[in-house]
Amino acid sequence: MNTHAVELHKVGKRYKYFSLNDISLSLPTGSITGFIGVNGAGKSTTIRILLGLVHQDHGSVQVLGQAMPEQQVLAKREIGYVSEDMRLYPKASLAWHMQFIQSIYPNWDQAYAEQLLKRFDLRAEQKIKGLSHGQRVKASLLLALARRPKLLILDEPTTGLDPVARQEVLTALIEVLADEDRTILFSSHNTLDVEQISDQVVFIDQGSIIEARSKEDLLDAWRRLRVRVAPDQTVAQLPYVLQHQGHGQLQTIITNRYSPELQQTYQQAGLEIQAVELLTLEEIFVASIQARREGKNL
Amino acid sequence: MNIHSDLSISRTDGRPMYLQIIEQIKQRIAIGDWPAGSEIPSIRQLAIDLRISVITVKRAYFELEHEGIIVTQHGKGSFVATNTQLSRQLWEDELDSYLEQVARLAALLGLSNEQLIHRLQAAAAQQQQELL
Amino acid sequence: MNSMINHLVRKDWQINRTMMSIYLGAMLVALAMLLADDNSFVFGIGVILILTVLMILGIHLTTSNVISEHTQKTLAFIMSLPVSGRQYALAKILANLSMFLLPWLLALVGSWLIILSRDSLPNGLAAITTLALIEILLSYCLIMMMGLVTGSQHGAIGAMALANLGFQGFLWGILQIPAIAQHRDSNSLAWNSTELSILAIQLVIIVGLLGITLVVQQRKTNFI
Repeated sequence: MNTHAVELHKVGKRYKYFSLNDISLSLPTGSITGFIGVNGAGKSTTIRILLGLVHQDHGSVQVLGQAMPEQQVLAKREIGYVSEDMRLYPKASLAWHMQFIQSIYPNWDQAYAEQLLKRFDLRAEQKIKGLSHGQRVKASLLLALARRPKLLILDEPTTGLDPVARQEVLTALIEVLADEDRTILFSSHNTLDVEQISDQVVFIDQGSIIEARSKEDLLDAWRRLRVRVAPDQTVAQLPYVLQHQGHGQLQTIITNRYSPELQQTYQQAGLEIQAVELLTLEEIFVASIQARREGKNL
Repeated sequence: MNIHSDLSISRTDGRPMYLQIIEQIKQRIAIGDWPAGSEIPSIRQLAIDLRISVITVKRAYFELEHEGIIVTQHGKGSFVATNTQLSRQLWEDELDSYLEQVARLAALLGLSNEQLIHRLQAAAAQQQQELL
Repeated sequence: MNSMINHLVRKDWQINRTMMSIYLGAMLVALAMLLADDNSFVFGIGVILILTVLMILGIHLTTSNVISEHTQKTLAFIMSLPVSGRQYALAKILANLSMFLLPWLLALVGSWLIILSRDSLPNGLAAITTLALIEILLSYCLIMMMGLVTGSQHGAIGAMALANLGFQGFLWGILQIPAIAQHRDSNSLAWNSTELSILAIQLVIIVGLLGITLVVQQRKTNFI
């Protein structure tokens, strides 16, 4: 078994108005990775490269031990893919699609498929064109899950879903990980979903990966400090201050390198620390993007 | 014995999810729901039950193990440590962490130590009256 | 044949079976009309209907089975299966060609039978009928290729316009050739060298179009 289900090394792809800049990324086997970026940041391009749907200009892509795009047929036998811009055949029923997928994948688990049908509240005999957006996403997910893939790649699976459907989808995803050989990559601009279920978090912006680490480490490293400063003091020069707000005596600082030592450093510099708060993943994401666009090092 | 996990995670709690797990496991051990020596859910199982990431549960278990509250045997699972002094110690720790919070809030409000002690005495008196 | 290609061809047949049965039915009706007297109105309509069914089927197949994979976004679903770009193109060509060829062969065999079994129709008609039907097949290959390669409505519409003009021009053109015009009115079944040369050119063009489609598809670096 590979320790990494996916390994990208300096992968680049140039388009007229967008380019993916030498991205490197690895997904440990048995983990869920949340892939976060604004629309147009490069999430879908990266995912398409992983599937061999788009060929990179340079760089190496290994998926489940197979070089992409050359070995895409072998790799895709073990990949389940669901994307927001992917549709099933409108004139055919879900049952027809299940039959079709079953005929292709020897690992298809009919019992699991039927269990998912019930849980997702879907009717197999219904034609795809009669389904709502949420039902279509769940139908696609069912087809991907029931083939028991080693790697699930989901491009914006929860976008546009109602809260009930979203939780059903997230629950189904997390259950996949009961099997330690299986890996999930899912992109989203809903940071709440990522914060809930992912082990690893990757931020992408303007075609570059700006953060890729364990979610716990990431949440741990960021803090908002509410501080009282002397009238003549400026906080911007202090180490690891990514953002600061306020001009009076009471100011807030956001840092991405929080530690008790850093707190001491700030205190020695004369700051009176009144509160130390954790940030949500969304706040961390937004602050990261802003800091990068202002040219600061993360 | 395998314990069914009946923990729950609050999204509005404000504290990190791993801390909520640690606290709830400690509570269950302290009140005896999860007796010493009993097997607790595996990391992956608890993650699935709570619909949260494996790494978050892993971190909670790691810290619980570090504190000697649970032990993990490779290939067998995790168990409540067989330490009889544990429950008392847990409540002591719990109290300390609340007191820290109290001290922090008092500083925010600018209370003096005397004022703080006075408020604490009042709270204790209230609690005694409720018990009677 | 590769089993994945097999799955994809069967899939296309299943998805389009209602449409196909309508076209096959229409073709049988058109052929039945040829049973009428060859100077009758019904016979004339039958001939026009055969040509129309094939022309419209060619366009319909391209929009509903090639371009729709792009516009209805089912391509991402198919390309996520264990299939390469080349296999996808090959399967598409096989599926479309087989769907087109079935009514086309009915038309070919049906018209031969009518021509050969009737004294009032000169047997020499068989050659020009065959060439005309092959020209329709060629037109279809052009439309399908543009649909597959460009994946867009515009590309296919351009090809349709070109194919239509090409077919009209072809019919007008070959009748200007004395060898062909004379053969049409004679009762000889044997093909002359002019007809054989035209047939050879047509077949080369068809194979060429299909080959170019495969090569272009294989060199694509973006499938979606």
